[in-house]
Amino acid sequence: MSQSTLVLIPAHNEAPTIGAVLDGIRTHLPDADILVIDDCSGDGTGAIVRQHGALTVRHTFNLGYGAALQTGYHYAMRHGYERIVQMDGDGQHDPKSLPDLMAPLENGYDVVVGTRYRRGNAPAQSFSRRVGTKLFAWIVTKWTGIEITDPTSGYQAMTRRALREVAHESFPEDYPDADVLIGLHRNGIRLTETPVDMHERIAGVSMHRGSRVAFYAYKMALTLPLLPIRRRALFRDGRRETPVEAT
Amino acid sequence: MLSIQGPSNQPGSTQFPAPESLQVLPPQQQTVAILLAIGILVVVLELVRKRKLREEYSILWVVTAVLLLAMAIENNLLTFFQRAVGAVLPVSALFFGALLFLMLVALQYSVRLSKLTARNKTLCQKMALLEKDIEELRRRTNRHAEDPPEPGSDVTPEPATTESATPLKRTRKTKTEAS
Repeated sequence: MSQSTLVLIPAHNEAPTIGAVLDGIRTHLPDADILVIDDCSGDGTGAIVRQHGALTVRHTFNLGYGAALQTGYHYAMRHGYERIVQMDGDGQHDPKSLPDLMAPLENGYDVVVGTRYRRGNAPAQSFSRRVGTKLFAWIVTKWTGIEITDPTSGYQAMTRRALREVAHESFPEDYPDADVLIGLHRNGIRLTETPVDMHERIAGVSMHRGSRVAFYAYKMALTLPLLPIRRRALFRDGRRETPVEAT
Repeated sequence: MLSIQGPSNQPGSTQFPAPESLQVLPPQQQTVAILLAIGILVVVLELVRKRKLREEYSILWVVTAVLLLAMAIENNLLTFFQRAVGAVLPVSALFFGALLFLMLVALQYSVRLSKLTARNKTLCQKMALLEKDIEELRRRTNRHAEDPPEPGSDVTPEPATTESATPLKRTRKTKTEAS
């Protein structure tokens, strides 16, 4: 890569898998910097990350997936990275897809969503997850006019242009999925998706589990209809406090 | 419970008494309402005096207590409120007012809680990033201390970075350094 790239990995108790993920990134994207956002893990995830020579920042208490990502966005903004990749630390996102994921950025796209559904080897999912994914994929595709088959995918790459949009206080701190993609599209960010390899979770627990699935559905049902009547700058309105990246 | 029963006890009258006939609270209810309002006012003001309750959170309590006191003393006010909300009994209007107050307090706290949650998150993120900055500065300082410049040398050593000590991280400049 000719431009500086940062790989962001939000991690909460990912000690069993994070080492292999870091090694995989080093193999397939050797020039990239890696930042693991340790979301208050209690299993020594941060120590393993340091042993593997990657950067890590640690939350004092658990903030959730979206907030951990946001911390990474702020770090990338402060340090002037031109491109970022975000992926999970539980081994679901195969690092060998990293070059494929970043390739569309060379063609003028700002955000590339890695989809597990185009290579025919998607890992098994619960019925509710499948239904939810299809529903939100339909909504995002209809709304943006861009075919997005996997809006819940956390395996994404983006340029600094998109980073400026998401590195904002109002970025969702729990489930940054369909609403973020639609919000980015409304702000003129160019989206696309590309096939990637994903695997079954090796360890850890999904954030889409139990009652959280119901809350996720509720949150999306509430957020999506509000998008058209919100200001155009979805992630830029209402800023009254000092942005984190300005510290 | 009601001081004026009037037409409701007449044969052929409606099940509930007409509102016009129930414009005042019985003395006992009036006394309780006045004492309750004064009690709330005293407790709230005392909490504010002791700085156990912030002024901004006391507004709803004070306004409600004052309104309760005013309606308990001035029956016309209670009657007006009773008619405005369509209540049959004055006491029902008071209960409705209490429910409205509790809903407003709950909503106010939900808004405050959302704001505090967002601030909490921002603080935690800022702290994490600042800790990282401190860690990097310490490493650079230690490197400088271990590798002092040659006496008389006019060549300033290249500042070492945290990243240079790690195989995965390229040497980068922060915004501050760049500026």
